[in-house]
Amino acid sequence: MSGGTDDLLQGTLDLLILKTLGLGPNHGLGIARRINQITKGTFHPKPGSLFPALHRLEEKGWLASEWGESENRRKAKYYKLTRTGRRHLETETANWERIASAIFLALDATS
Amino acid sequence: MPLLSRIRKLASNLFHKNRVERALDDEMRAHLAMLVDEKIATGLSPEQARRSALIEFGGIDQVKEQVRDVRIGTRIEQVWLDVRYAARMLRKNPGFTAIVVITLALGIGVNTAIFSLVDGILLRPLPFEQPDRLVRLVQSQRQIGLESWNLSQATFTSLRDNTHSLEVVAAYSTSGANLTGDGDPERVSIGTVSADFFKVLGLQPALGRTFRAGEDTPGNNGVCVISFGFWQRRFAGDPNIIGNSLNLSSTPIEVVGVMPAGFSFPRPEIEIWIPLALNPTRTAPYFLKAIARLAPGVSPSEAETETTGVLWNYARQHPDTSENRVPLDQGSALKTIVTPLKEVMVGSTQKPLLILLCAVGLVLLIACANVANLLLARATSRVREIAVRFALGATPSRIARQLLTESLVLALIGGAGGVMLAWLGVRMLGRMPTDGIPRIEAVTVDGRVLAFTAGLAVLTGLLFGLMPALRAYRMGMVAAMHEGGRGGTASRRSNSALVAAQFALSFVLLIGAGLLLKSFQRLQSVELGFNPEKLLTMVVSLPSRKYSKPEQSIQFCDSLIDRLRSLPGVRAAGLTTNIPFVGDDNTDNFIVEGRDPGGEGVQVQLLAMTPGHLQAMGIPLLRGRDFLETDKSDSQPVAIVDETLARMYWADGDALGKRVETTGDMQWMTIVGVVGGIKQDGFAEKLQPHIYAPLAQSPTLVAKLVVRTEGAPNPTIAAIRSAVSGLDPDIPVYSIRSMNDVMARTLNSQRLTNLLLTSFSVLALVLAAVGIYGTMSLYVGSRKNEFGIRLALGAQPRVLLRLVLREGMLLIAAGIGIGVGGALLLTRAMTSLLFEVSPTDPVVFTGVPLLLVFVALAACFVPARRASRVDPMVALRCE
Repeated sequence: MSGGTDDLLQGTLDLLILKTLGLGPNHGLGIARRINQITKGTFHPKPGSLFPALHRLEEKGWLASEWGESENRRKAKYYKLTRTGRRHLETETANWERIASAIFLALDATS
Repeated sequence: MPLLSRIRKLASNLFHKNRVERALDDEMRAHLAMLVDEKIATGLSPEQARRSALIEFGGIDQVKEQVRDVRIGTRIEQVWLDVRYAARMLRKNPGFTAIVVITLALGIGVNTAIFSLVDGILLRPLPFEQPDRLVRLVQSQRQIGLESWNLSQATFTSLRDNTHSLEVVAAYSTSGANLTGDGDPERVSIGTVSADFFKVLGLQPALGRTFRAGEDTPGNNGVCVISFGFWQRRFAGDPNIIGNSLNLSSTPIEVVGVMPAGFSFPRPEIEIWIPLALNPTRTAPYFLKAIARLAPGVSPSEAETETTGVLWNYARQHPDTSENRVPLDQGSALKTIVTPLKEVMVGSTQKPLLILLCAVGLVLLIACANVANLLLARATSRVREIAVRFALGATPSRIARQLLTESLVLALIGGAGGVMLAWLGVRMLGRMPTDGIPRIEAVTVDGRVLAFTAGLAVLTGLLFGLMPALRAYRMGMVAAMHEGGRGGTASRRSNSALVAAQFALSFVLLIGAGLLLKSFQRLQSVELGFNPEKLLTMVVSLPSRKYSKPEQSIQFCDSLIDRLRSLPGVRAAGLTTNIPFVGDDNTDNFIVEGRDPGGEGVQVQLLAMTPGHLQAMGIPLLRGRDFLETDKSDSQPVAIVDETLARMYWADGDALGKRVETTGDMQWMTIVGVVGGIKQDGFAEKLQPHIYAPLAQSPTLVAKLVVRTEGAPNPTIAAIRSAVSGLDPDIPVYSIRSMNDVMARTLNSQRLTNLLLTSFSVLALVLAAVGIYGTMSLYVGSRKNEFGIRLALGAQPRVLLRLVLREGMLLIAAGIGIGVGGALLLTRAMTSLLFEVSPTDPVVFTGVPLLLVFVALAACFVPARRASRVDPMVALRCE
């Protein structure tokens, strides 16, 4: 529960989920842990925002899911990117980079 | 592809709900289990791991609810759930539901009913082709007292042949004729029209044809078109009617066409249309009105400008006509008046209808306030339920939506009830005397009206549901955090505001109704100048062929009067040409001997009557004498004038022996009597001057019979009928009515307006009384403990009673204060509907507040007495 992660922007969370699943299929807990890991502990998605996001992305057709078995031999729902999802990951990444560099420039210029 | 998959998702969400829910459940459980595994791996005991995992997860049910919220189709499903939930809640509180539904049904019902009137009469286009382009055209010369003057055959022809702003123009007048031949003789209403009449309206006949060009000239007009109703009534819808002859005023006339059902113009009672026998050289009399279709893109005022120019040209070419009474080069006000046809037909009802619409709008607002009050009271008792739903993860918007759904369900049920009430109301309207109200037959509760009601119900639901929904939702949220929240003062403040508003609205309505009622009463107690009690009126019409010589009709009238006087039950009888209040209007100019006739002309009512008519009518003879049997066609021409005229010309009103002339042929009539003035056109009119001539010197073919009876009029009617048929079996007696009925008819639309407005005001008052009763009960309930303690400490019950009543009176005072402002605004718009009553009439403006205070006191008394009788022990134990 590190500070600032609760009001994680929806778009940001979606992008992080897509990015994580770009590395391979995963289940809810795995995705949360992976996001935490790749953001070096900055983001710590809670189930209350993670699951609605996963279900929303799945309904949009960007993710697909199937039941599988976890490392600890638990039945778990695995999410993976669909083709549409992968395409969106690319465009969203490009967008994000543009925005991020623009904001970075702006902040840099005024400081 | 994504679309397809989304549809599949939607279907599975909606129809395989269990499977979807089970999957969600499994996913959550797996997530938690893995979380526990993780904790155990870090060295926690299973017990500790489970607790820690649960804390990290947060509320499982909340997470599930959040996931459900993002599903496709959730909205649809939630609405359905909300509706079902609402229905369950409403079923659980049948008393509450019934009161709300009845209140709303009344509020929406009166609105639906009045809207159906407004829609049928005002909004719906006239049933003619391109009705927006139809206008009525008359001429006008206000300097000689003729604001709305009819056309002569010559002016009509001139206008018809010389204008470009009018695409087609037709003239019409109305009259009656005797129909004889097969079956009983009867009197039928006739429209006498020029050939283009039906072309102007753009109507096709149901059978046969309408008139051809040239059929409106003398010698060619022996044809007629009949109405659908007449065709059914007289000929049982005989399909071979075309080509048959009607015996109309003893003249055979060929039926060439039947109009479609529902067509009757210019008056609803017209059954036969015959062509005019136009003579373009006749510059008088003025008996025609014109209807016209404007050329595309021409406005009525443009047409008025052009036709006025044509009329001036005509006047220049015909220097001897009345159009030149005020010379054109001396600032004559001669002009035409072009009015949209719809305005002519329904203009008079516009204002009363709009006022009624405002009134029912106010009733609905009052009803909404009542329902909002009830919902507010209930919101307080639902705090716990809402708090629980919050705790289970419902989002705030979800709960607000649920509460609004409940309101909408209530409003829609109320709306359905309202439609039923409106339907009943419109049917009842059909049984009331409504002649004189234009287009009333077009009023129905149909799809348009239903659409209006549905919209109104939704709006109503939002209106009364919003505040309680917000309140319940806010209180629920507070209660979810603190234990046992209770909505005290804030709720009561909105309650009070609503009640004050209700009284303000009721006040406005009651003032409006009070003014109209008082005005109506004034109208009916107006001095008429004659006595309408036990007075029968009827009409006999003599066929012009059989009675072509004046002596014949004079002889008939003389013998008829003789026979009538000797009938049992007849106290007095007379014949005349004009009966008051039926629109028998015969106004013209006149000249008093030795006075300058020029300048501003005075219009006078010209009548003829038999000796004894004054006595039968109960018109007092002030000076001189009544007509006598000796005033014959060959004796000295005489006249009787009324006081109104006498006082206009002679300071002392002594007109005896002076001479007047009305026909323009210098036939001077010597005044032999002065009688009291009478109201000729209606209750509200200013007294007009009258000149009476003896029927023997001014014979008529349409004689109006006035009979004063001893007792019940009905047996006398039969005797009169047989007296007439004894003289001539071909003469029908028609329009048999008592004078009181005749007068009542002129008040039909006013009576209806009054009845409706009064009922709405009473309804508003009852709703407001219920409202204040509820609010004061709530007030007493919320201060029950305090009252109990006060009583225990020795307070007098009387003091508490007064306290509660004072609280109620404060609300009323606020309501009346606001109401006065609203009422002043409303009544200013009503001025033209009032008769001899000021829009700020002091009696109404003191009576209505007194009534309101009285009703409010009565409504507050029950809760107040409850307050003074609180059992201290019970009150304290409650806590």
